[in-house]
Amino acid sequence: MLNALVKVQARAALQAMYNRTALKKKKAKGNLVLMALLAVYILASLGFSFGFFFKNMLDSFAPMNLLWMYFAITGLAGFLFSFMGSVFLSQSMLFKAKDNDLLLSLPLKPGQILLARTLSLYLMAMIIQLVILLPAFIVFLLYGQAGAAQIVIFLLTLVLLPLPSMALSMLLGWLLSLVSDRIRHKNVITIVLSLGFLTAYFWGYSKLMEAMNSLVSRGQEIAKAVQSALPPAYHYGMSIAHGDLSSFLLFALFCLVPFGALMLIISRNYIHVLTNQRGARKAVYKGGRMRAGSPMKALVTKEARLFFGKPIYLMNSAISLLFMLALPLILLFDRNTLTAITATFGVGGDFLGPICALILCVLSASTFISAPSVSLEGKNLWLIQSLPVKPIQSLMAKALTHILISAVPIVLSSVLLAVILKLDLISFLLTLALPLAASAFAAFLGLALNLRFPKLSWRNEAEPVKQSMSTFLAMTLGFLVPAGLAALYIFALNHIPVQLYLLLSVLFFLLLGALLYAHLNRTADKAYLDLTEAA
Amino acid sequence: MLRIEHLNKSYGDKKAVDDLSLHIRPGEIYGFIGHNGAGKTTTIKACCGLLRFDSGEVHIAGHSVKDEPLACKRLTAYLPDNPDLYEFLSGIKYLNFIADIFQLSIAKREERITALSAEFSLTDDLAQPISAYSHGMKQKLAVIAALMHEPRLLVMDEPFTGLDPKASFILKQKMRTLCDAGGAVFFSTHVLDVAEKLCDKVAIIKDGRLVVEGTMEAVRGKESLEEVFLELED
Repeated sequence: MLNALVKVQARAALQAMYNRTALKKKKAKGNLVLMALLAVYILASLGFSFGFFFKNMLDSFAPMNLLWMYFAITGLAGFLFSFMGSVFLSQSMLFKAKDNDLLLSLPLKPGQILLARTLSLYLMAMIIQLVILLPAFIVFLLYGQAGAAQIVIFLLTLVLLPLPSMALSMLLGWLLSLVSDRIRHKNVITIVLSLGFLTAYFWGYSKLMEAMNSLVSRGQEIAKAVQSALPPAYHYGMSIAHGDLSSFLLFALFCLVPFGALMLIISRNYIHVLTNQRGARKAVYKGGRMRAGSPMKALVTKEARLFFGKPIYLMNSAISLLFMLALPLILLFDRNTLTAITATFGVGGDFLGPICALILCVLSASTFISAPSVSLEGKNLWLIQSLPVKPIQSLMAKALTHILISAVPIVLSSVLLAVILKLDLISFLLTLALPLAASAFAAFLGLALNLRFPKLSWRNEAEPVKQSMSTFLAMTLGFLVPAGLAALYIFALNHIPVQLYLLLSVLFFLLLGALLYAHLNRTADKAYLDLTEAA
Repeated sequence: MLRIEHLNKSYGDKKAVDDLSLHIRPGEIYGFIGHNGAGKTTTIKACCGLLRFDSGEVHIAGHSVKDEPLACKRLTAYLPDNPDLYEFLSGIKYLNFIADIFQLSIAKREERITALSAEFSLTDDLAQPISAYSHGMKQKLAVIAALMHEPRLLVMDEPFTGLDPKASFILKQKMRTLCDAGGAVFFSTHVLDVAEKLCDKVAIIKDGRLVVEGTMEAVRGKESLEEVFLELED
């Protein structure tokens, strides 16, 4: 029974990324190749950048005879990144899945259900770690110090290392589930906690380079501190760097014992958490004056309620909007960093305004609120299809929601930038118009991609939001298109006035948006009927 | 009110609906009966514009579902077999959403929501999120939403599943009232006793093809509907 369940969960985890049922076979093959190529490109790019970073580190640590420290740091990086990748997923995947009732009705022990569910989480943590740890080990291999023992131990640690980050994210997900059913405004609390965590994470990340420099200059001193304060990292490093079997066994214990203990505790409590329906105090309807609105207003309000009611949707699709608000603050408190960036492009401080406009543009275009919005209709799709609403109206409501939600931080950030950088009126209008135009482009692009790659059968919202082709492509293209425009200016158009370039960029995004709208308008009716057959 | 003409729909090689023709007139409660997988849900979805069909025509009050889907949907209310609703909304917000889509005035929606939620004993729960509703409560909410804009045609797929006896009784009354006012009801059911007592006309479908159709008296003759159905199935 457990075997069957594990197989089903593994298949679901793979299908979560790629929904074959939604597509015809020929198209499905083509899309699979496209997806594989994109995945290889992205993984290779990340792998190369990590490899370059690790090579510099190894060059510094090897002469100090601190090879174990090299692996300790790469292992810690793997741990942190996979924790970051799984922390927002653990609650929805382990405790809020839609098929909980079905599995609970089967003759399965709670521990077996939990074990099968953790498989998807394990796969995700493993993939993230591979992107970091494989380049680290390849750099080590190229250094010519690796023997058979090191290779075998490295492979074994690959299997073990996802466990500590999973244990931590499972612990947080479990605690959140224990308390969230008793709180009325649990979404607000989840969002606030998530924002706090993200702020801490990015603050830590911004200090990383500083810490790395410190590591290199004070290597021996810090190595001693790591050895005594972080024994798992020390033994992880020792086991791979020197093929030390006792260190490996100790590291294995550090991974297996906390994970096993947590699994045991959660599995004993699992049914209680899944079936805990005590909830917040029941709200009783007391009547009152009702308000009427237009169908479009009703549709937009519905989309906005979905967006603000699902923390996983909000935190993943609109995280760039938070960075928009951070940009004026960075300028206010740490202007030198941005001035240094402009200097690397060989331009003076007077380019700070256009560069900020471009940063806002990238952040706006890579926001993907609309990209999972059709998939999120899920089993509710019948509702919008049976109501007297044109498919294009429903799509426009989704696009409008995307644009309106993005517009708030765009306007705020542009006004603050105008004040801080003392922008003239035209520069201010361009700083405002560029991200707004990019937002319209991103909204329509997300919808077109979601109709092309729908994922209507999902067990939790994380699947359409985090593990679907449409969101992946929307985010990637949302980054690549403005990046391409910036490259065009640097390499080909730097002779034209920068304000003219920004204006042309605005027009370019508006044109792309108009073309995508025309495409949606032409295909919406057919696409909505196709969705019923894909569901 | 609802005219289905030579409807055909296939899923790959499997013919789900095969040359089906039915005519539901104003004032009729029309039962649609068949075993699991006979093609009932496919027919119902095609009638409501949810599903593309291969050939044939469906007209609602003279409007083609293919060419004038919005005109058809304004006259129709559809209730699926499993009412998955927007769980992130409360009951009252969901009803207001439906009222906005159908452009009901404030006075009209207040009157309809107050009356229907009281009849289906759901008033106190309207402030609750739908995610906290039981299956039966969701079904009641879907029924209220369907009746709120006073449709001329009510199309339902297994409408009595999950409803308590009182809610089932009220729904049957509502179906009759709607037909008495010149509307029509087309619904599928496996509960043959209900169909026998409630329906003016009945159609039995098997493997996508119409087996028998007509007034309840004509179809069952001197036997019960259950006996007729089982004989035809064999």
